[in-house]
Amino acid sequence: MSAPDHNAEGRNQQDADHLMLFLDAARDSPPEMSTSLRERILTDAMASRTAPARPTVNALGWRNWFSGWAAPGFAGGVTVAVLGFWIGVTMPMPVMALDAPEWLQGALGYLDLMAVQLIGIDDPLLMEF
Amino acid sequence: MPLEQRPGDDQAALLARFVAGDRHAAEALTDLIAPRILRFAARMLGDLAEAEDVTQEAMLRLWRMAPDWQSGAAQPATWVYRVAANLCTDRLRRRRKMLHEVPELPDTSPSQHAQMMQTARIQALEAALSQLPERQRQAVILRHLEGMSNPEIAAIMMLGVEAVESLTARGKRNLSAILAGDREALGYDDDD
Repeated sequence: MSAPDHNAEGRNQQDADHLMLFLDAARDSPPEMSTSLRERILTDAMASRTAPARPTVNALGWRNWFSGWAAPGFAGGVTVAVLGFWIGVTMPMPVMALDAPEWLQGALGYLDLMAVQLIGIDDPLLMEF
Repeated sequence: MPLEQRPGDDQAALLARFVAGDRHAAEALTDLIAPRILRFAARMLGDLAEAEDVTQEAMLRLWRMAPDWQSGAAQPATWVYRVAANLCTDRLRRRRKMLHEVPELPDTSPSQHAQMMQTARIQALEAALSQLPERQRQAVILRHLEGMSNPEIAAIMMLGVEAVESLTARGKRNLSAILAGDREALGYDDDD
């Protein structure tokens, strides 16, 4: 091995030794954990144990059901069904409507009024279909 | 201090006891893990207040994870180191690079001078560490300041042992180069 190689090797060893001195200095003075940090960590630990339990899969399912599209869709379906039933059963019964309470007769009268505007006849039963 | 399981030091068992409501288990785990995480984070970030925040956050994640901890997984300390390393990475990305400056030494008495010199050396090392690429910094801190074995570091950094060896070697070379100009100023002349 030539002299320059020897020099380089020696230099590297010297660098490594010096680095170790820096590292030793840092190891000799490590940052210490404060009592307040320890207390904060333990407070977190106790708080995390008393935190409310995570909802079960079943509960999550119901929550998703109510917070998503299903509930509004279901409500819309019910509304349409009730309205359809009311139109299908109540409206074609003008004779019964004569005995209906006053509020129902008022409502039917209002519907008749709309029917005149829309289809030009007083009584939908006269449409003959 | 090695992270591997030793008699009386079964971190997973302590975690199970904590889940069952044992406060002493939480204290034991805190005393076992948190000081190491604080040292690691302080050296990664060069700021003790930030390191305390990282330590608290990493431990909080351990407490939250505890009910779902699977036995046979990594040691809790290894897992917390990983979390802390990621938290440090996040903070370093948000921060401007620290300037590398060797602090000026005031005129003092010999004993004060020695103390100041020691502090200055530590600060110089921290400044030099901050200039290393992040993975090299992690590897050097864990290997040479925390005294961990290469397999332990590999588990924390999720790397192979050879990769850790390579990172550590490159980190040391770079650190030596950065500190070369400070040696004389900090009392490490060629006669050391």
